[in-house]
Amino acid sequence: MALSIPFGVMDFFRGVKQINIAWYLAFTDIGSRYHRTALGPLWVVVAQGVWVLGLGYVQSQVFHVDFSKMTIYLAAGLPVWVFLTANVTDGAAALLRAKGMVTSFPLPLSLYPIGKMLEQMILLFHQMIIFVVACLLYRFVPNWRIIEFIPALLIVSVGMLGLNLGLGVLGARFRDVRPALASLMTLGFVVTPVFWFTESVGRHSLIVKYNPFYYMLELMRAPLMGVTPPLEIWVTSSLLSAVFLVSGLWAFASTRKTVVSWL
Amino acid sequence: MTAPFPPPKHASVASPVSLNGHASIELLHASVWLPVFAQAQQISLFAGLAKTLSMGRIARNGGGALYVNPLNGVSLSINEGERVGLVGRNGAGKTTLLKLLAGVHHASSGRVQINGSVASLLEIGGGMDLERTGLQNIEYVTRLLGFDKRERARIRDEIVEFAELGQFIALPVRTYSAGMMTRLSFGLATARPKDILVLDEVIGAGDAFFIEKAGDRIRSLVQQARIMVLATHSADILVNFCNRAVWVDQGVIRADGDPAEVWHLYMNSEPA
Repeated sequence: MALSIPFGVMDFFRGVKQINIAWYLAFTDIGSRYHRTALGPLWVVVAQGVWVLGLGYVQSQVFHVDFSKMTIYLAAGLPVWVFLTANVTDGAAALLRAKGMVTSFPLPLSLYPIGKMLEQMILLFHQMIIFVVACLLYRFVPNWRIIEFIPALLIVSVGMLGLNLGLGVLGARFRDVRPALASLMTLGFVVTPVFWFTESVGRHSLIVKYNPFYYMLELMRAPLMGVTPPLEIWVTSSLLSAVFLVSGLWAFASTRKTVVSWL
Repeated sequence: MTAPFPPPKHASVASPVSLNGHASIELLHASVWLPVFAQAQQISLFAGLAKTLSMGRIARNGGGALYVNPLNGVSLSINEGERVGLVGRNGAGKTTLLKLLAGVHHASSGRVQINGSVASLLEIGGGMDLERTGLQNIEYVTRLLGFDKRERARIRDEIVEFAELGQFIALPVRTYSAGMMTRLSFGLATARPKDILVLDEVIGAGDAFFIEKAGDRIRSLVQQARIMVLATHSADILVNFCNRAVWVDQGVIRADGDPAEVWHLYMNSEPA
């Protein structure tokens, strides 16, 4: 295994170098997902819109908040949450899905997890159409702080890439990982302030303080809502991303030579 | 000769490098151990049985994980201009050997040195999207292989001509017959001449006309001082395509030499 690490790291860098092929993989995967459907990838937008409106209405009733405020909050937060969840659950299948391709194309193996992360990024931008629609409908004008969304997305994406690499290997070896993560992320949706406000429990509540997805969600959502995320959020998210990337790359690199026989 | 068990740490394995015109394959005592994952009860049920039947080619390590040993200390040296045919019974290790050459699997012990770029066709239709048309799949595969726009157009025309799929090229590949898939896959695998061509038992599904055409293509590829390794169960394909035969049996090489002679030895061997 010791000799596998440099080989695996090299594989990763070769994958990064061929990122244009990873983009192509990402786009075609999205295309084939909606093959022969009339709306195509627009289904993502429709599904998201239904969620935002339905949940927005229920929440505005429960919490007695303004419906438009709730809708915009959800339209900003839900796509980000889906981005995080999808990277975790689909990440565990990032290598499994590539099974047929691994024996057929002489591509670096890391290209598949990289492509999966890019695929989620494309879907994120897709779903943010709902945010734009919500802003237009309720005349919400985001301020200049929205540009902070770009560095926020970059920071989170690095971590998501690490998750795809690491969970891809783990999910190939242990098939229980994916269903386990799926159920965990369902719970995560409830525990993370996606459809409720952090102020309701306070920043120091355990479910917020020790929830890595809270930091990443807040980092990406706050700029959309016109607020600069606090420094603590920037720092914690960056650290989390670094930890995800390093541990994911380590898992990928140290199993690079054996992982194909697990698929 | 038995390979060390449990599988040792990975030995040195060179990654394929392209050297213009100097292609070679060098295997030195290469062994492959592959883990087998199944339900826990299933393993304990068939492991004991499998161990006796396989004469030691299936084993467990200390932790109880099950391993198969499809290649057991193979030494093989292939040089430019050689068209090698692998023969042997089902489960002899032919495909694993090809996957080792294609860089899919890695040796658990021993040395593997491959000089030259490798093109492989291990699975018909592998990596293709069945819902997409022949043309879309050609575009897809050539994009993944990193060809630029002009090369892609040239390769597309070439494959359409070579595969003789006619109108079918515009239909989803799920409508293709096995032979049509073979034509398309083979055309793609040989789209750009590589130094080393690795083919699993795939040509057989084509009709006689295709086999002749494929033979011409392989011969023209090999004429450019390159290497081909294919696995086959057909004496015809072996004699017509290859100038060297290797008989693989239970993970080791039993015979190596002239195709007709090796085939004769193989056919007259005692069934294991």
